[in-house]
Amino acid sequence: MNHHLSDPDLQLLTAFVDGELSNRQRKAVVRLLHRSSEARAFLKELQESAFGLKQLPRLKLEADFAGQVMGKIDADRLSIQPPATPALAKKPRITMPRWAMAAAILLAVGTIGWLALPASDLGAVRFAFKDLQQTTQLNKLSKELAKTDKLHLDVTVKADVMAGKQLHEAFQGRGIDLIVDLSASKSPKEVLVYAENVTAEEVKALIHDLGAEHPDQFEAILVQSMTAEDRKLIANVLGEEEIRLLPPIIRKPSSEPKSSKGSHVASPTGSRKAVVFSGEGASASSPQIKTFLEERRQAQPGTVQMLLVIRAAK
Amino acid sequence: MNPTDESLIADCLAGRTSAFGQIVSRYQDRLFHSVARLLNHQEDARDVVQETFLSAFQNLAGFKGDAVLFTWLYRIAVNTAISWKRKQKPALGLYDPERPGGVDPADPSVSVQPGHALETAEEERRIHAALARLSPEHRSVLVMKDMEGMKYEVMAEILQVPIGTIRSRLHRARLELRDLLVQEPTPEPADSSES
Repeated sequence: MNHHLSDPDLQLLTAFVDGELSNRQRKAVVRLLHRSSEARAFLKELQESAFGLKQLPRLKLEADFAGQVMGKIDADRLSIQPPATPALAKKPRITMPRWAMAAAILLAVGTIGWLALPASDLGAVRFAFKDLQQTTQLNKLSKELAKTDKLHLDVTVKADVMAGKQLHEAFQGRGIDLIVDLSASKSPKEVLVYAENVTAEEVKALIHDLGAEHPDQFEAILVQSMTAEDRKLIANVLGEEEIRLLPPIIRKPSSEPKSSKGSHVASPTGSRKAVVFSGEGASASSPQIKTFLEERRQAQPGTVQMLLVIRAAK
Repeated sequence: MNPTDESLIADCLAGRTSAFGQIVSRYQDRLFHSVARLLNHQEDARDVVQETFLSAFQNLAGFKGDAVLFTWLYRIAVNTAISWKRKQKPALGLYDPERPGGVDPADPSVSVQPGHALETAEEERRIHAALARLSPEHRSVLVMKDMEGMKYEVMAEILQVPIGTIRSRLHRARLELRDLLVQEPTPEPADSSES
């Protein structure tokens, strides 16, 4: 709903919901509500959302949590420290432990280093999903995807977004079913999708679909070639020799990038599977991995292998 | 009669540290509820709350009663959560993660009404989803205000910002939440004729 209330009026109404108005301000709100149906509707919405938050179930810890804390205090031989300075005693401040300070500094340095380096210097090109609705960016993506037949795609999504459904839909849109290993269902730090026998055009369409349908959830994608580490990881997860896992793939007749409309590499037909597993590892003996292995097919000319890494944005 | 916070603290400082267990029991769920909503991750929230109490225990002598004990603990919890976020790679809740911890319905007498459970669950999911999409800055003020019922003044003390900042931050947070809720599909009302 577009509102035409002034910003001071809106602020008064939100503070009214918070119960933080003076008598004079409260009277002003009552007058506003009396004369404006829009203000009444806006207030109702605010009150409903605040009420909804209040009504969310109360989360509780296990009954013996206090005992565990006390056990930890004993085990770590923690003691009550005397206040370090009079200032600290007057107004307690929690200082960051040294290790946390060091971690924060490292993180800051790491972040600055990352930001300072253009993506191309890392052998990777970054695209924001929202930009991939533009033809120029989509063509640029096509060119990058055509540079290798062993792709490593690094996707960042907003933290704790349930992106599984969107992923399934995007893959199913290309005729690829996702087999989800149990390791991916336990809130890992990274989720990996391994697919083979897909064309670069399909990868492009898949990326485009993710950005088109859910631009607010999928943030950016880094396109690069698979590394030796990636190959080892996939080989480990699938429990196969690396050399067997990644046989030489017949290159496409031309390494020229295809236009977004004119790919001459036909999509492989029939049902295909891709496997989803945790970045922290998966067991090659899991039923899901076995299913994937049973349904694998010989790599077809002109197709690519893809490792899609999905991680939460900071 | 339950001992007061002050007497429990005095016991701890006098060497009867087992009294700290009562402080933990008294505030663990309130802190956990807030931190879990702040972090949007119950496992991490549990660790943060434990870290909060360990830190509070060690710094207990620094607590001079110029704030309510819960406010003091809450402030430690918020700082700990911020540090936690920094040192942890964010978790990716891609596939219905298994979450620990129990959940109490807000009002059991209402929740047993026919058709209400599904509708309530869907409404909770909708609100939870919108809350999770807010920026941490906005989420934190809404959690403090709407879930903990804190006054602006207390929130300002915890977050170490002026009251005016709290006021404007809450204003923006409410607008953002309202917009997100408009985007989230509303659950169909339960059909009472079937009951």
